[in-house]
Amino acid sequence: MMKPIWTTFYLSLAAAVLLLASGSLLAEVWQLAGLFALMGIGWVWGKQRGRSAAAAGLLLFCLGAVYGTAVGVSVGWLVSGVIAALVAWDLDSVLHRWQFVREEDIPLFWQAHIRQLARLLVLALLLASLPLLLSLQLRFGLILGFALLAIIALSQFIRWAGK
Amino acid sequence: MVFLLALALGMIVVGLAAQRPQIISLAIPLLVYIGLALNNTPENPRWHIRRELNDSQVQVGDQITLTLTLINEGEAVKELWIHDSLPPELHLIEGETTRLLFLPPGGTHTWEYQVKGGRGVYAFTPLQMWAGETFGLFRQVMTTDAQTEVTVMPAYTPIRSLPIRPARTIGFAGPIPSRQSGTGVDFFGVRPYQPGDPLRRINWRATARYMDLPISTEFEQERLADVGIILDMRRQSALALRGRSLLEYMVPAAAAVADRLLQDGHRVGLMLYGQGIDWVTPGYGKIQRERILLTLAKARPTQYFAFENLNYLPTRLFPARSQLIFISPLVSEDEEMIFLLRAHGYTVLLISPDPIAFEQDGIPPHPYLEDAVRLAHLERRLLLSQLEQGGITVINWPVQQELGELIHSVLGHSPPPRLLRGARL
Repeated sequence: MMKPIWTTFYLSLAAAVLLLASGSLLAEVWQLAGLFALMGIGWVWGKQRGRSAAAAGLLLFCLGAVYGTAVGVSVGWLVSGVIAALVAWDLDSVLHRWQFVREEDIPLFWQAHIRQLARLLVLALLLASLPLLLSLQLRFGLILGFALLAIIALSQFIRWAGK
Repeated sequence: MVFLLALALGMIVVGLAAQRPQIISLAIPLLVYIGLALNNTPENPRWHIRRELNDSQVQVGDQITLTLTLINEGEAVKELWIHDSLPPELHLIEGETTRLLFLPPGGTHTWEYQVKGGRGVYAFTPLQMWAGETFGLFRQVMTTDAQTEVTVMPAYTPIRSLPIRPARTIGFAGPIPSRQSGTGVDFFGVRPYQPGDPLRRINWRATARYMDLPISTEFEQERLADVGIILDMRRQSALALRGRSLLEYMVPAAAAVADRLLQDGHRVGLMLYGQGIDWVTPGYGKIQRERILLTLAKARPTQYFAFENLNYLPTRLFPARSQLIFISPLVSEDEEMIFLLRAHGYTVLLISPDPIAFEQDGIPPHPYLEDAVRLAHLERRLLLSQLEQGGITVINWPVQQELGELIHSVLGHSPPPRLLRGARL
């Protein structure tokens, strides 16, 4: 019953590698494309040996994408690749967490999860394009105020999440 | 969640520092993921949970069936994780103790699993539960008060008969000849006829011999007795070898003996010697049987310096001149205290599981093993024969043999002869 989840996991990981590597190849950064391919292989290798390489995988994909922005890789490829990597990271965790789900309940869980992933895809693509379209001129004091506000909000959020 | 948030914030900081909106846009999917998870987090999950046992008291070897019932009394929770951590002595036989569930509001879920365990009293701790959302980032840990306790009583093979003959009986009809005339079935003696004696009591043969007065037959009264069972719980007596413990033979033996005696109607008490002095006051019937079994279920070997030998065995705890049944493999120097019990007027029956035969099975072959075993047997035989000479009835029990059969072969149906007061030991 877990087969569709495994398939989706491999597909999303392959999509992440393909999108990030394609963007790198189009920008003629061959080494980065190779690195993304290696990261994908490493992730699968770790997963098949029962070790969760998800956190390290997502971290490396994100770092690679950040580096990609510096070397001129198109941000559309990078954002799409990061979203696919995020889905793979999520499914990696699902595969671990759902081992305690009864066989007959898996379709129910899977449907709810797929719906949530669809929302993620749409919202992430829409919102990720905003910083590229918006351009604001802010004074330094205002930025400092926003930063302070962000720190307070973040600490409150972490405290709430901890509870 | 912390990992994802740290990664997103790191990217935003780098993006701001490098003045690159592209990097910030890379962080957006991560923040959306966190936001969606946060939006789905159950705010106030309320659950009613019940944990039931098929029986709160079972015997060793019986399966314990636990049934967990969950009723969602609040909003729908996308992922409800439940884990029932078993006491380490219990083993899962069938089913699972962890489950991830989805239950709509008002939904109910019931599941069962079977466990098995050795003798003891086991308390199940509260269930571990958390309610989370689909992405599994945010969880609300919940506590439950579904505490349960199960007692695994020792399993034993019933003993068919255990003939005893203490020096003193108590005033209720029972199976022990009391050396007093009265209602009974065994011939006790004859005496001159007294008005009121039923005609069928007249011994016509004796009357024919003594023509001047009629003679009546007397029967021996059969009464109940006070019996104290002493179970040796000292560490040095509880030999353990390759996962087997001699105590696991002694405890069922004590249970079987107590059961037999209580079924015969005797007043039975139990003392565990070794973990301090754990004492079940004498009593009758099924409730007393439960009390004794419960005490035996909890019995564990312990090591206290003060109780290393039998010097602190309370010799006046049991009713005077009653029957004592001492279950112990015996260690040297124990005989003095047993003789002292005998000297205080108790009738002592020693059931001694043979520690040498028990150990011999588990010892790897060695050139000197046979000689060592022979010497140990000689030493033990000497100790037991000394006890027998001192008026103690001894049952030397190789634990591979069934105790009931051994008692039957040693004591037979008739109780051991009782020494009269003043008779030499």
